[in-house]
Amino acid sequence: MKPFDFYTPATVEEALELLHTHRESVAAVAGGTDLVLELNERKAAPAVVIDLKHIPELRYIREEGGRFRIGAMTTHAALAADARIAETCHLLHDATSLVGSPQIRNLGTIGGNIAQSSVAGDGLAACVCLNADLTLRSVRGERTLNINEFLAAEGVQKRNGLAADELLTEISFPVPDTKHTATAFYKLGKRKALAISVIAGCMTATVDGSGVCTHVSMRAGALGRYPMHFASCEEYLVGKKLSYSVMLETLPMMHDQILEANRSRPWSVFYKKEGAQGVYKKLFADILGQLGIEEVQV
Amino acid sequence: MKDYAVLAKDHVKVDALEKVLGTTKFAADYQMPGMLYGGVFRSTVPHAIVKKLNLEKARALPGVACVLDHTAIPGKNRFGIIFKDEPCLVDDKVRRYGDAIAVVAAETPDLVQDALELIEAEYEELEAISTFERAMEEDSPKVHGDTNINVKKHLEFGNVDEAWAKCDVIVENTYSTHILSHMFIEPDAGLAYVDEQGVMNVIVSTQNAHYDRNEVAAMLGVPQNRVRVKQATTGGGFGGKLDISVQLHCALMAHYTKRPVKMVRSRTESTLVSSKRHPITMKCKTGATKDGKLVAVDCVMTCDAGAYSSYAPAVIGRAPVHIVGPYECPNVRCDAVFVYTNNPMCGAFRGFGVPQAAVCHEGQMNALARALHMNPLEIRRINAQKVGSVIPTGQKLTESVGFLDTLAQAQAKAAEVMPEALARLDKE
Amino acid sequence: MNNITVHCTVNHKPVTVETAPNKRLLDVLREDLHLTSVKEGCSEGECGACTVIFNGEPVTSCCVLAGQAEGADIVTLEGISPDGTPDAVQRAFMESGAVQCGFCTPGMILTAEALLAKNADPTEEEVKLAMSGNLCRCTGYTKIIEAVLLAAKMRREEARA
Repeated sequence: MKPFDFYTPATVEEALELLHTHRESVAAVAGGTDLVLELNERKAAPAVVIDLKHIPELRYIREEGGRFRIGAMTTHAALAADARIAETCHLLHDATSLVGSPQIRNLGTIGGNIAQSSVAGDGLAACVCLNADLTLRSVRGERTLNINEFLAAEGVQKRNGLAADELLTEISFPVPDTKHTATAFYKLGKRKALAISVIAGCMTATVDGSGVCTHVSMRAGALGRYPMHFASCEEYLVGKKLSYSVMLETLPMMHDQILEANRSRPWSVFYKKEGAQGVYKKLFADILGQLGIEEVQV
Repeated sequence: MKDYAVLAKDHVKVDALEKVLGTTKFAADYQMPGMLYGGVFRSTVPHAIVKKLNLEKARALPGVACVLDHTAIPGKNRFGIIFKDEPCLVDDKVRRYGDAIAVVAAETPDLVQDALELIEAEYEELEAISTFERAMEEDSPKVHGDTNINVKKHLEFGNVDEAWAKCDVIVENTYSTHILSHMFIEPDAGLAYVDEQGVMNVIVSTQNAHYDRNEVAAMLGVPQNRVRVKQATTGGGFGGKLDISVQLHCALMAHYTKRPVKMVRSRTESTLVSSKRHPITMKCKTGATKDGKLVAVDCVMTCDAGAYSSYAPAVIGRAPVHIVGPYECPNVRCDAVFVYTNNPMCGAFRGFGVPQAAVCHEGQMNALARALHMNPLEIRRINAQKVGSVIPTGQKLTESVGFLDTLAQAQAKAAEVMPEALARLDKE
Repeated sequence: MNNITVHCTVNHKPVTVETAPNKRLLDVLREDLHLTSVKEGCSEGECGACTVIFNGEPVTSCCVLAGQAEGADIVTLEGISPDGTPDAVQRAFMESGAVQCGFCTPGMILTAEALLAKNADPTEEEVKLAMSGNLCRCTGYTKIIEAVLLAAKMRREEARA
């Protein structure tokens, strides 16, 4: 590691002051499962590192006004262990349960996963699918940004809109109404545990009283720089009565979209365009089962 | 079975207690007063002449004890388990990505990294050979000497050419196995120091202490009794720690600085330069009678063995003699050619080529079973080697041939844990 | 670069370490505190050889900066049986033949200790899940899983006695 100065703020205010002062060359370390490796390999060499581990106010899971509000320093393990999330949001529960290994889940945080915006970030893909809002704070003030806008913007790094002096403090999204909404996650990896996602399939679907789809979200991680948005598949399903056979009709569109987006990487697209369809068959079955529409064995 | 003291009994391993207590010392756990840390400057191109090498900036860094290139080697600058074809530090040219060009010893691991970043190399790149086919072409650049052929082997048993006439069925297929890293969990590490008697001591994670000693002595140009190599408790090897790793670099720097020098490879460095499993392509023609009895096997094996020879001469000895597997076959021919390329070096890896051959002979047995509409287990039983069989080396097996028993037990276990798969064999 | 002072509990004793901030917890434990049972296998949180128990949970110490250990309660294998008498988990690993080269063993034992502290009677599936972040390359997984289940049984019997 290159030398750096290290600070351990105890409050968000202190952290924001430090980020502001050292914004020329600073990194905030959350769980450390990405940044510490980059520092060790000298791929990152900031002059100042600010630890967020000792800020208790960034660690919470609350339900407020129909939304889940999650402190950025909440670990994957804490999310995976949360009973309300397990009950109402299979997508986030399963995504956080399957990140890395037990050791990594005890360290890694949902905020770190989003701020890092790694290609294969499972937590990131899940939050994009859930259309989460992010709270970003700095000494200049506070702003709320939808996660899609966050990823589209360019901040201190190209990968997202986080400014050099900003801290991601909260992730929030509506608590799914499990009567009409189902959410699901399926990870295709090379091993059962400790695997980085080859495809991280995410889906949410909402139906009305007669089983007609009113809203659907289909996003998958590790298929491109950012979680891939299957907009044409979504469009096809909205307004239709959901069934396994109707859902299967979206797969050719998915196939074509993945092929088109990954033409420059033929070695991976060959597998991924097929793999994604398998992943979504699992997700369709899961969603239909949760909504009590149809039991499908995949 | 006879009652033996150890065989078929539960015993606690002699070193288990200290391992569960965490007191066992692996190579990276050794510390000595005044110890330096070492690191290696490696090539970033696969095939090149080093035109310029600037070590001066690294040498000028405070805390750096030595920066050495090949000119510092007092003895021989070539080592290797069978052929001495690998340099301790590159002299004539770079032959693979990651070849060692210079070594650094400094007071801390971070200083070693700083010094390595200050070394500058300028290359004149040569065409890199990355396939067997290109290596064999007449106009290809030669990795070593005047031919890219590393080793060849020919095996002939019975008369293959005449045997085809006796075959009712012939299957012909090509099988390719891939290069593979041992990925032992402990990255290579070692420590070298000169003791009060002036003897060079090397404590190292290794599978081959006696060989390491020869190489260290030859590199330093001293008699073998001036070198002592001690194997530290070794965290897995699987053949990958039979070759030289840090031994020579540690000893060279300890020789120059007269201080202990420790080197611990990162996982990346370890994976980059340790040996690999030989990827072998096997083009195989197998013939049998309509009853499923093997008559002839003819195989051509080709292999990209990488930049240095390592254990290639041993692997090429094993793979062809196992080309029929545990089956009787009266006519066998195998021609094997292993070549040098600018790819990672292949070496010893659990089985010395035998697992690669198994991919071929088992594939051929399945192909024959399909062609003859036979149960694949049955065709194996019909051809199984047993006491009295003569194998393709001409050796008659006189005892302890356990294949049929093993097959029967495997079948029984399969019936228990995967009955559907077993039933499917009959249908096919 | 200014040095930092880290106050934490290591193996049940309060410890104050003055160290450079550009070190990992792994380096502080091995180099500053000479706790060399903590092994470095991959340096990227994959292999689990550097696992320590950190505030009751297994974590890979290669992913933690020295300063992040401020106030933490850390246990390494040296802290499991300081007097050299193996505990139930360590005995079970010996008796089950779960120790081969021994490099993954410290991390394996600590992960098992953390599991059994929370779950005295885990199922085989729970053991497999808990141990999924520790790689063994001698592939002794079957024996390792047996050892953890045996350790749990030995602990329960000890508790009853």
